[in-house]
Amino acid sequence: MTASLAQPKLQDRASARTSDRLLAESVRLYESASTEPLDDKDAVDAAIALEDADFESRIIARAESLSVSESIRNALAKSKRIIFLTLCALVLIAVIAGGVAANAALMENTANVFALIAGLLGIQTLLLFVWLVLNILVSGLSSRTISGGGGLLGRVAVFCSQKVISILHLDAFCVAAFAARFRVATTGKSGRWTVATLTHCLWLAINLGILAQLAILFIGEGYQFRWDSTWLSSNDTYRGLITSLAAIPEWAGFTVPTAEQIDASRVIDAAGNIVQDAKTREAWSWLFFGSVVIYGLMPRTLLFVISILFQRCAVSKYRLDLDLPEYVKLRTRLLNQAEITELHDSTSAVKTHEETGTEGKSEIARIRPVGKPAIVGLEITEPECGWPLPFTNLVIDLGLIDGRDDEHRVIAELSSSDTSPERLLVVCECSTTPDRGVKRIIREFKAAASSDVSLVLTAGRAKATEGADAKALAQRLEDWKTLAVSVGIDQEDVIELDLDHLTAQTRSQLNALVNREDSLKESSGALDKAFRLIDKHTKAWRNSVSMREQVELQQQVGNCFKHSRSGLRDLTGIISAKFDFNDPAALTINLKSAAARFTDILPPALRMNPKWLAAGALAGAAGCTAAAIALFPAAIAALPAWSLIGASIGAAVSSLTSTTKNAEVETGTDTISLDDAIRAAVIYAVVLETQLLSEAAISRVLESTFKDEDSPIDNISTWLKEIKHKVELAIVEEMKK
Amino acid sequence: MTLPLLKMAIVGHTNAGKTSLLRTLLRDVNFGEISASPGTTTEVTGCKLLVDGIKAVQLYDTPGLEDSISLLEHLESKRTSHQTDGHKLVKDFLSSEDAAGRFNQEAKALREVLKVDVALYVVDARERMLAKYRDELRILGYCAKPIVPVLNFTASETAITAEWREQLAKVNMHAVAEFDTVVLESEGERRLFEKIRSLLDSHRNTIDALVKDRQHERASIIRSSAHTIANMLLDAASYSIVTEAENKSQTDEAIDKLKNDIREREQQCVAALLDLHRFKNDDYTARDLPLDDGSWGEDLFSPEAIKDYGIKGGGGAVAGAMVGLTVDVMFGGISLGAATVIGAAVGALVGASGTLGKELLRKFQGKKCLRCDDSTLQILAAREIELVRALLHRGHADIKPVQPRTGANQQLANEAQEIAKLFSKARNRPTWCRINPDHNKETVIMDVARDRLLENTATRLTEILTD
Repeated sequence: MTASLAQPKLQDRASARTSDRLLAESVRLYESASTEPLDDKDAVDAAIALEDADFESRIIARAESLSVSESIRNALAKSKRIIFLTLCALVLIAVIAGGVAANAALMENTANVFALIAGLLGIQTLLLFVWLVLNILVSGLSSRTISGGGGLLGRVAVFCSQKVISILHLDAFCVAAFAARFRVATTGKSGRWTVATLTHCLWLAINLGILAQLAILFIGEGYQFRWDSTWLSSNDTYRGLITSLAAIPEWAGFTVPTAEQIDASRVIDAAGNIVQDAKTREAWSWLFFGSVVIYGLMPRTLLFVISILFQRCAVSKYRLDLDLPEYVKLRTRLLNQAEITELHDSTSAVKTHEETGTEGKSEIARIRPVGKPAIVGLEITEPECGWPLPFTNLVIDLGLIDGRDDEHRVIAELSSSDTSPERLLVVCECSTTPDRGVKRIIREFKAAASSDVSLVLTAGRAKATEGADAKALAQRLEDWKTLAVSVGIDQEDVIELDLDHLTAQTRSQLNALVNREDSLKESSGALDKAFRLIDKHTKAWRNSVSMREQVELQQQVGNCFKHSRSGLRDLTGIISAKFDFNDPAALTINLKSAAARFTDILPPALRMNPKWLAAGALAGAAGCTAAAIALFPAAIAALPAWSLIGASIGAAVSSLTSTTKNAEVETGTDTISLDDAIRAAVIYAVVLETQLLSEAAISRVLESTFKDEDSPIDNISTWLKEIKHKVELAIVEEMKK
Repeated sequence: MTLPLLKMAIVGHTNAGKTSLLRTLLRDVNFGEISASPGTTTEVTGCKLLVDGIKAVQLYDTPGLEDSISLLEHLESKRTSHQTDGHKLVKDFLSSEDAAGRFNQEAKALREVLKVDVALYVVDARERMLAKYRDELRILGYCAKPIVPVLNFTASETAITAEWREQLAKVNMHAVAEFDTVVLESEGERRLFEKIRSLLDSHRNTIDALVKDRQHERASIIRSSAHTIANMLLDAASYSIVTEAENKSQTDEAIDKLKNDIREREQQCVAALLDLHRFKNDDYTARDLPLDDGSWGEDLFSPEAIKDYGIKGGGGAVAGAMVGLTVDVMFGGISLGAATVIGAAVGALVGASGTLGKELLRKFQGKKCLRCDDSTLQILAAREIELVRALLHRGHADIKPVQPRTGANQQLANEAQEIAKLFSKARNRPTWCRINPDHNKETVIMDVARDRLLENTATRLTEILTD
């Protein structure tokens, strides 16, 4: 605020930039004091739009463009007026104070020469020296000046301005404006020179007051001036002192007392009165007047001019403190390099012809016998469980691949193989990004293998990381699923597995995928479903069931296990491409071997039982037919009459059972009894359920399930329920082993 | 000042963090679109880096390279003889139909690379160097431009930085920069610029100016943090509540209010510091900062806090509600703290503010004055210094989780003590406090002594935070 005293003058000539900074500073202070942030979007835009402007210019530009800038400008103008008026009042007070001081020094008509000099010049000369010492000799401490000795007047000014603000009840804009002026005027070196300007200005006013009062007193009153000494009898010392004091005023043209006049001023007459002629008195009065001009007014005027020059210079060097938190926060916004030039490529209009996921179906898959599942690791680190994966001896290992050469090798292997893999497992790292390259490779693999693909995502490494971002990982998983869908992999064929940390669950999942030895959990739902199906169908049946009905039931039962990728692994070994529905002889042979396959699995105890033997054979023959129809849907179109197929099944069954006298299936017929139909369907379901177990295990399950079940079935539902319970117990038993 | 404009393209595999790198360099969190999914950036976007407001660097963000394996195969299939150089292959490719078709994305990126002075090849250092990355580098090599591999996500625990360096060296990439775009770290950025400079002597001046600008920016943030802390400490130091000496319930209320107000003020300061350091909550991880969900877990006014920071409690016997607080009780008009108060009073009364006069008057009227004690100020100083240090050094590989504290840090305790001591002048100046309900706005913003104190403290804090 003290600087503001000089501010009015400064504003006219100093560079416009200082006033801009003043505005910016006022805005900052206003913003920091106000509770609600300003809406500065447009202002920020205006600042950003500046070309090649530094940060400070942009802050200023922002301040100027703000909607409050007008109010703040007004407040700055108002504060300028208030400061000017305060300054005038202070100057007036100083002039009066000077007059009072002069009056006090000349209270009596006879004045002591030395007392008068001390009274008029003593204190101010002393303070001048203090100021000089503080500012020149101890300039290192200059920054402290404002609160130091020389700053007393400065403090007074601060106090005054605070009072003015509280008395006038100024609004927030004015408070900010005052504070900004205060900051501008007191920051760095300007503080020192502002105080100096103020101090010298006031002393200048005081001296003017003194001179004015002296002139009035000397005009209106007669004064005598004398001096004396008790100890020093000689006049020389005093004469010397006064002559040297008078030298400069004399040089400047003031009349000063001569040596005789000085001597005479010591002489006192008998009455104790000084003997002084008018000329001597006049000379003395001019000496005092001249001394105040020369030793009081002149240096203060000089220093005032110097101070004001320095102050103005310092103020013009004022820069916003860009390290203040408020400005630092603006930095990113204003120096925003976000001049974003969207470069639309000339080619961008051409839409990337993204191959969609329908492909693969359109191309004619080379029909090859289905072989073992194959597994390939695509751009993955060797998992901690090693590669090839443990427990996967039933799969074809295509290795870990990375790069063009590997890709070519795998594609060649896949397409040149005699068999198409039952399923291709592509293992990828879940934490990596599924990109177009990966997509292309999977698509190419899929085409080469001409089989279904399962995507196995291993996320061990990423998950092991402490504090791994679960959200990011979930996002990746989504991306992989999107990729899977786009290359024609079903969502449920995307499996997440932690191959680095093989837990019991991971193992069983892995086995279910590859070896299918442990799909108990997954398929138990299927068993349930199959049994319900059997229940539903057979309830509607009469006592005699056609082969067609039986095949359809078993086909539906088979569908229940589709989820566990039954694929009728063992059965499919029998169904060859040569399976021809039009050739009864060949058909019978094929069906016979299928029936035999099933009866072989039966435990001896059941094989001895004609009922179960027949049921087993029927299950095998009908199941094989169902599977063949499902595998070669194209063949269905060429299906001969069902009676022929039925007869073939019947023939196949009877050929196996004919050795037993009590065969209940009539040779060559295409109808069977309900009891047999149910038993066959149930055996078929149980075999499918347990197909991943070893054959011995399957036999054991069948034995413990069916060994005491040869009496005719009364209530189908109850019977089925019992059987299902037994199957489940048996499987659990088997699993324990 | 005129600087030759440096043009840089940011290229890399999809999802390696190209746009993140650009954002970090720009200091603009809103640039471009970022997601964890591949192919987020599909167009080339350009933006400028300014030095002192003057455009110095033009950056281009490019779509990710996704299928470099087949692109390289494609390029090489076009190679008519062994003499055909890579540059020509790329040029021919860019004018071919494939560049508009299935290699559209790759073509856009390559076209930019041909235009710029240097390409930054961004790599996710958490992944292995796969064949596709090698192929990308080979294709980029065909462009015949300087390439600086930038290893992103190096602060991650799964980053395999050394392995990447080794692999890159095998393909003759030695000027490799490490730069984690999640944890902005000034040192990494400077090294990145140095790497670019080592390859581009013609743009030395531009890069130097940029580095200098960034150093200045960092210094500015430190200074600004110091200001923020100093302001908070000043408010806490000068905050006081006067209550009737005999009124117990009023005193209890005042204790609660005082504590809550100071806690809140500290929280404001923490929020401001996080903001200054461009700290977003989504990149917060427990090991980055000693904070617990954006605030200090431990209560400011608990004996544990004092112990944790190795601060020697002033009173020793304080317990319960008065932990961290101090009170001046009046005995016949002379307070326990009379010596200090009167000592300061002489100076203050001579001064113009006169606030202490009121303060003294209150004391003589049988009231008591509650304020936080020195140990609280020290804890505040220590915590915030610790926070800013953590913010400044985020991303350094050697940073240890700050919690749990293994023992008091003596240096920190000393620094906190020194800073807290600076505020002894503010103790008897309730009007200096911005949380005090009876303060005058004008006296707060126009008090030279207050400004001076803030300035001095900020300077000292800047020194402490800088080393």
